[in-house]
Amino acid sequence: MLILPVRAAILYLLVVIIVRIMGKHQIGQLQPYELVITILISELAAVPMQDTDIPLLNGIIPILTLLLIQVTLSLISLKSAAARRIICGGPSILIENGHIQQFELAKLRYNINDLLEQLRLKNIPNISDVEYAILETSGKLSVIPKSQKRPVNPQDLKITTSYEGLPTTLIIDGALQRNHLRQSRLSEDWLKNELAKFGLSNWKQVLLASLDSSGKLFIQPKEAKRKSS
Amino acid sequence: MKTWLISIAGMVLFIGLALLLQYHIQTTADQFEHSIQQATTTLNQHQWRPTSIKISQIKTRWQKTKLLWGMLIIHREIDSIDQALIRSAKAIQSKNYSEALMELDTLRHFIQHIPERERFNLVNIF
Repeated sequence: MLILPVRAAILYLLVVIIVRIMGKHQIGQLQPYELVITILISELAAVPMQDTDIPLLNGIIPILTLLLIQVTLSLISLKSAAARRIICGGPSILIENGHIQQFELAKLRYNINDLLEQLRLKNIPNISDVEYAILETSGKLSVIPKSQKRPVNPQDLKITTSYEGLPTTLIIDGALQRNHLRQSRLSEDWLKNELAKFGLSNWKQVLLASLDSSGKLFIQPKEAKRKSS
Repeated sequence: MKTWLISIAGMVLFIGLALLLQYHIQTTADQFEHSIQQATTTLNQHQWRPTSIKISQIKTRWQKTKLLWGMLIIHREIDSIDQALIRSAKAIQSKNYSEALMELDTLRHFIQHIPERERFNLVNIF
């Protein structure tokens, strides 16, 4: 009975490590070969996890082999455009200059209803508003609306905007982010002074503190625990 | 804090229960082995009647034991013991000495195999 949880923990940790090594691609948008590897790894880990008759190495060795293949294919597709086209395929244009590419849809076995559904999910209910719709290699649809239908931006209105960088988190759940503070060239004393202005004596009392590029500090203190009635 | 305590208590309870069941399997298997040994001794003396009584007792005890073991171990192992028990009983009934001896030894092997495969060690983990 103790063997099963230990085997499960070993395989779980192994798969977590493998997915981390495979890179962020593996947990985001999957290419076809990555999807295949993900399915295979889950199966390879699940079977020896529940069946103690199968040696754990029968699961570990194929998983490591798949990791090797995945890393190799990723490197090949990174270096060679031709290999990338074979391994990952290429994007397909489904709507070009507002015109549905009927034969491309048929080739991809992608029906009109699927196309309309994807457009609706992108907040484009009317197909005549679309200039381009491209089916990416990950299976996601990219939609470029006609220039008259795209949202207005400050450049269209000739409005000058100031630079907006990423806000820096200084305290997360009571933990001081010292490296972020250093990167922002700020000191702990400065932060303590700022916290004091909010009536806070210690960063352990803070749920989140972040600093935006204009120097504005956002602080949300932790709430006191509610007593259950 | 409360969630942590519940998680740790659950884990300790699980490990404790697992160790207890492992101990139970080992002691039950040892008792069966002892009974099989007694049956083998009487068989070696060609005392068919006491051997037959012994194997009937083992059979009755096994019927009770397999209710719990069936929940803990894979059913293929249970089936193997069932089959070995039937073959042993038949060989004793037909007074076939060499076959009865062989079947009793097979039965002993199947029963002792269970605590062996449930034991927490590196061989069983990997």
